[in-house]
Amino acid sequence: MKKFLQSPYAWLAPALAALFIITIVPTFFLFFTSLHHWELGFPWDERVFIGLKNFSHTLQNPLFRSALVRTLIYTVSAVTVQFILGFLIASFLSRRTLLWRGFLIGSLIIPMTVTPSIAGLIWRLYFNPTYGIVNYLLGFINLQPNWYGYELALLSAVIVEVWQWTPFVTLILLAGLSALPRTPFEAAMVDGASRFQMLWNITLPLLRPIILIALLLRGMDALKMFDVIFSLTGGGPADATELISMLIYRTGFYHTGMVGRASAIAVFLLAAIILLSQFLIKILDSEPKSA
Amino acid sequence: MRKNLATWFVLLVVFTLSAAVAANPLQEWGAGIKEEFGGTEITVAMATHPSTDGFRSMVQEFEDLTGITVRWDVMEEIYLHDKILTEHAARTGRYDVLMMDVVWMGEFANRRVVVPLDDYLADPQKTPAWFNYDDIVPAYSQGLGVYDKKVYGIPSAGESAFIAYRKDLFEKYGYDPASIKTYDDLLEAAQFFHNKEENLAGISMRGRRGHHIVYGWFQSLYPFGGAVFHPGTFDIAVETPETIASLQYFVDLMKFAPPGIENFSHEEATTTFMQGHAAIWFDATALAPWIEDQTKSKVAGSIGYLAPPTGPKGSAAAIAGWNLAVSASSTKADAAWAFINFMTSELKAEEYVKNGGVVTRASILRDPQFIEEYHYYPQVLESLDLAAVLVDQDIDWRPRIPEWPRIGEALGLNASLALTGQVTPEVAMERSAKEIENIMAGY
Repeated sequence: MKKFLQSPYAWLAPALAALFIITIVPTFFLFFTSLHHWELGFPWDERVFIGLKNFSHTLQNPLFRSALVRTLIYTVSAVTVQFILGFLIASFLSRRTLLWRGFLIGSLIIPMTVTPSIAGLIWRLYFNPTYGIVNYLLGFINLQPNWYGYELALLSAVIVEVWQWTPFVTLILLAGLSALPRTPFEAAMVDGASRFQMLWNITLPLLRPIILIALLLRGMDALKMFDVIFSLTGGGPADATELISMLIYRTGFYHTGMVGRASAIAVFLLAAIILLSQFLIKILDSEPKSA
Repeated sequence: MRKNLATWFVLLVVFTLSAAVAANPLQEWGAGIKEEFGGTEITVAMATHPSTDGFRSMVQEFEDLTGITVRWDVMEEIYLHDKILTEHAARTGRYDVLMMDVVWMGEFANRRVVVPLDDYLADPQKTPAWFNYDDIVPAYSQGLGVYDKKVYGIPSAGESAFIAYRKDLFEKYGYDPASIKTYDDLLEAAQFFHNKEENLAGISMRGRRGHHIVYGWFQSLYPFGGAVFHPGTFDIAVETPETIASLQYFVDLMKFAPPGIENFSHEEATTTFMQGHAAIWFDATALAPWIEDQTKSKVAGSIGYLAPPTGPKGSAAAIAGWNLAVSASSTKADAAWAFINFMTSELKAEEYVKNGGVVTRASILRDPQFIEEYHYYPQVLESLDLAAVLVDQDIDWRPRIPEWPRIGEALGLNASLALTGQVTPEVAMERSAKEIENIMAGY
């Protein structure tokens, strides 16, 4: 017993058990349901094993394909903008002489504290073409875009995502920036490097792991974004903002109740997220080319 | 002094007793229920809805009368549907009374989520005379609560659809509202007022993808001779020229709608009208109180109402609403029935409506006192007569079959594609027909 308590496994066991119950079990359950035809509202016993039919149906479903493309557009554009904006704001805030610095950093937290589904509802009001504040402000430069329309709906969702999560990226990058060693910069200054050269050759390579973590977290989140879309556009108009997560919800619950089929789509989403994170983690682990 | 006090006390006792003897039937009924079910706790699952507020305002009296305690589980409509089905699948028996949207009827009855109530209604021991089932507007009792010739729900909130228009604008431009008799007239009027003033659209309706757009479009579906299924069969009728014409009409009409109509639920549709940004509004009768609310609506007091117009193939009006039903997995069905009895009875109807409840009873709709306060009641009755046209032909405004929620989703997506100009109404209906075929085939 004493020996067991001294082994690392004893100390890992509670954490592993918790992990097992809250993630592994549901994931296996997801695989299991994805192999069945089971509808919401029917007893669990009335499920029918149908093998991989749900998967083949998903692959043939044109809605799935368009939702996949849309999800990628959404994720890439949102995360890119978040990163660029976040980096600019973080560089600005990293100047130690900045007035009101603490206050500015503190106020960054505000968008993140809003519940995403509520953020969606608030922005739905903001974007209202007739009485929303966005078009009121745009009215001063004579613009009245229809944010609820087919063309701009996805953009409006990206804007909300950027509004809410850029601060998160900013805070991570800010932490990274303030932890950078000063010596390389001083050496570069002595050598007469320009600001851009310092940014490109020193700051970015040193920040690399931090940047990758920010991208990883946001990318994973954006891929499965649901709440904002749900309350902002409900996936519409038509299929303009139907991301994979919306498709899963619509298939599995909302008025449809095809739980088995929705599970199959969810397995695909899970695979996509794992692929993306593995890809980024690989880059993270590998040594930068020049250090 | 002491004698005086005693006299008062005796008088008080006598007075109370005599009041109890003269007892209203409610107290008598309550005493009976109390004896049998006093101390029981029932849980009701309801949607956030004005009628829920109406019920909650009366629950204290119910609890005092019957000794039954009521626990409330109130949530948004779409969550409610999933929650009820999830609880049902797990057989938790958590809920006793369910608030059920008419469109869930087929699904819930077929999956035995709710129980038939005919035996309760037929039993005078269980259903007191003051409940008066026959007073419920027939379009509601038949169109909302009955499925497969059995009563599954007691209509607790009912609505049809009608048109509201801005009297001030119609007067200003000399447009006669009575001239809007057909759907073509409506289109013409919407076109007339569209952009007549800054920030003014012709007509406001709902166009949000899913069941909202189906609601908007279906206003013209039956008057144009369209249908989801050919009457009396399950032969798909969405590809017929009539159905396509009705969708085309809706798409055309929405050219005179406020910007953003593609994302309008009933909320935006009505708020836009209330803010004075549309000349005409065509939506649910149950929303009229919002429009007439002086504190929220800029146009309150200058609104006239019209029953839905006539189409090339006659008239028909929407019917929608909520039922109270007894959950099949409830172990306290009798106590649940007592709750439904009390809340939806004729006796309490006046109080219910005054507390925000949505009227389902003919006695209230015809009550001169109520008409004075709610001047649109006559048009509601007119719309309900038009709704009864469909009910009498045994046509559901929205087919109340278990597959309907899925069909509605398919129609809602394809109609939205047509509204946003991604496909033509023909293509949209072609796709819908295929999808409905798959849905009806079970996979």
